[in-house]
Amino acid sequence: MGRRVELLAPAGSLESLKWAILYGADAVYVGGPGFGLRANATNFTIDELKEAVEFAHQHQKKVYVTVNIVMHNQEVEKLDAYLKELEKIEVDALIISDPAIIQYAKEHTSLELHVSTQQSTLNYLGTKFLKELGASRIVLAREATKEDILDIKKHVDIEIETFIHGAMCASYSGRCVLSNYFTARDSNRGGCSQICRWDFDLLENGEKKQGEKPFTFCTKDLSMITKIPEMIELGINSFKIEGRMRSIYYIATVVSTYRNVIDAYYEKTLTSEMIEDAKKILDAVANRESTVQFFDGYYGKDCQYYNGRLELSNQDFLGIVLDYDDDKQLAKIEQRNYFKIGDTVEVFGPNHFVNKFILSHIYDEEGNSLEVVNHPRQVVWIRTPQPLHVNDLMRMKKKIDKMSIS
Amino acid sequence: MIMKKIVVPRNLENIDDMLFFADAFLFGVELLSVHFENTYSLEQLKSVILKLKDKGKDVFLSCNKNYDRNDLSILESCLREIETLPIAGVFFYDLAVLELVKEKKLNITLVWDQEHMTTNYFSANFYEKEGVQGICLSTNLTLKEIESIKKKTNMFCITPVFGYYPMFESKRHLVKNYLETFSLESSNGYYQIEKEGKIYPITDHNLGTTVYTSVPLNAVKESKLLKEQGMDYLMFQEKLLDHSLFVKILECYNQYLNSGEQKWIEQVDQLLEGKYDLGFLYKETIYRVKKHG
Repeated sequence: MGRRVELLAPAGSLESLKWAILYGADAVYVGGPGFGLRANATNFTIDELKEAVEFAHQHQKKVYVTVNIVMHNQEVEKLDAYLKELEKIEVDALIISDPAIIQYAKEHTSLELHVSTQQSTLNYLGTKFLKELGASRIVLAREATKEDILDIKKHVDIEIETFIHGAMCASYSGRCVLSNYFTARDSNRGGCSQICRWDFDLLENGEKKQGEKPFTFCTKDLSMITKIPEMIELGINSFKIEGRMRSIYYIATVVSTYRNVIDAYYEKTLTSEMIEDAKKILDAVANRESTVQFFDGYYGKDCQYYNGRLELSNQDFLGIVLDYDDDKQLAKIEQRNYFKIGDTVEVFGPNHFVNKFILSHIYDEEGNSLEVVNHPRQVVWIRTPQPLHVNDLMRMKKKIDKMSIS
Repeated sequence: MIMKKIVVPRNLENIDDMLFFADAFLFGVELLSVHFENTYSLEQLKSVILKLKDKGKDVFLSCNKNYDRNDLSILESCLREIETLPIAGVFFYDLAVLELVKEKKLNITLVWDQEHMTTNYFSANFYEKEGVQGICLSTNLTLKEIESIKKKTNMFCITPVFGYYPMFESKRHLVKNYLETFSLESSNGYYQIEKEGKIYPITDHNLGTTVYTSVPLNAVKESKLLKEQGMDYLMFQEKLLDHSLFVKILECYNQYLNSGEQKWIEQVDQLLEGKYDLGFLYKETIYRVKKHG
């Protein structure tokens, strides 16, 4: 068997980059101080990028930096210096949407170059053109079906990266400027204000067409957890998780869940029950329903998400393990959401599967017994049946499959 | 090069009324183009192309869809046929078009038309080196940016000055999906979406969904300036407008471009009842909304 598929995670900050790597990402993609499409994420400064690369390389992981804005003239002048800076830091690759930048970076740096999904590549001819310019990898359009992927793999010898999880653009990437017109924030220069999530009235010949919920462009999220074996067998080289603005809990949960499934596939231990459990974990951290979107060729009504149908909040994350006392079998927890004696909780970490137990004893830092933990970032000790590890995460054990509700 | 006016008509029947004004026309090709009210097979277009050529008009065709594997053979045979026709150029979005023209050594003039991405001279010059000869500029540019790109590229430049332009293009059938989800009947009418008192045309067509600007772009005053700056083509979109109104507006533009008389600007304003805007010609979009670190 050839090289294993890469698990590529998003990071909006140094902290989330570290969590993504600790929880199993092979590579992380980030935005630098310029030229990225998430201007309202907390992008990395050059110093933070240096630290990120250092941390990742110490763990034998990679860092890719987005250079995927659609430039106006004012950005052009800054491009060369920025690329040189990224080269100096020794980032592992750039993610670029503009073929002109790919060619320029190929000629003026020694960096590896990936083509961003903003180019909406869906066919082998476009892929071939980009490869000849010097791209070593293409992030395919979210609209790509498995047949499109196969066809590209058949015709062009190039690394293919596809999204496996997260939010979807309702449009072809790069072909939406709703944000520009509604809020004067340029969606192709990092300012997307997600107008596709807004509600609208739909009119036909001037008359309102009123469903139970308002019209919106909004789609369900993408989740490919049930398709991982098939995607690996298609020969996809990198699985990308969307969400540079998501919390560390979300990143850690999604990364570790996919990590476990991917590893189990290669170790030939993957079962349908494991996939079903993984799906439940991912559903619990999602805030929208999810589907496999275009992969199977379907993009009809069941891919849409109408506001109010099922809004989910992310209250499952209970806390982070800060320390563990082996002698007393007590774990030190920093609280992130309310929990109490009697709750059934799960603890998971970078290198081990889930521990489930009922909270029997909680103490404050002075050793006083507590019934509930209801203060943000409150530090407490809990008794656990098994040892826990620093940086493990504790969440509520859910009994229902929320995403089966529709 | 003398500045020309390129018109995108709603249909083939409308072009005769525009011949006095238009130097060039742009048509959509069936299955290969988006954002056109009507698209046509090359068979349907052939006689029109020859007629317009006889009258000294340039004819451009648009192949501006995002192509998946199923489109490639249609695209290739279409481009091979286009090569045999007296076409001034092919507008393209997907890089497959550029690759095919290069790979098959097709003698076709290409116009880079990546919609919202044709925003700087650096990328334009890259495409020029790849053999592309024209650029259709984005509607998201300021007048200053348009002037600067024109100065810094050798490609012929086309800039939109009038009509409804797309803000959003999706492969999904968003209107159909909504109607089906809530079991609403459709009479296949004219659809719009409304938000905060503004109404936006939305079309759910065989290739997906397009959303247009709420009012037409109207840069009649700026058209003369663009002409003086050496713009090669001004583009006029008839889509979603009444045909006779559109013809009158073309006449006003023509008069203003020739005479510079203010009254023609006022005439366009009256014809449109003040319902138009200047897009981003004087408005820069915000790039960074939050400082890092």
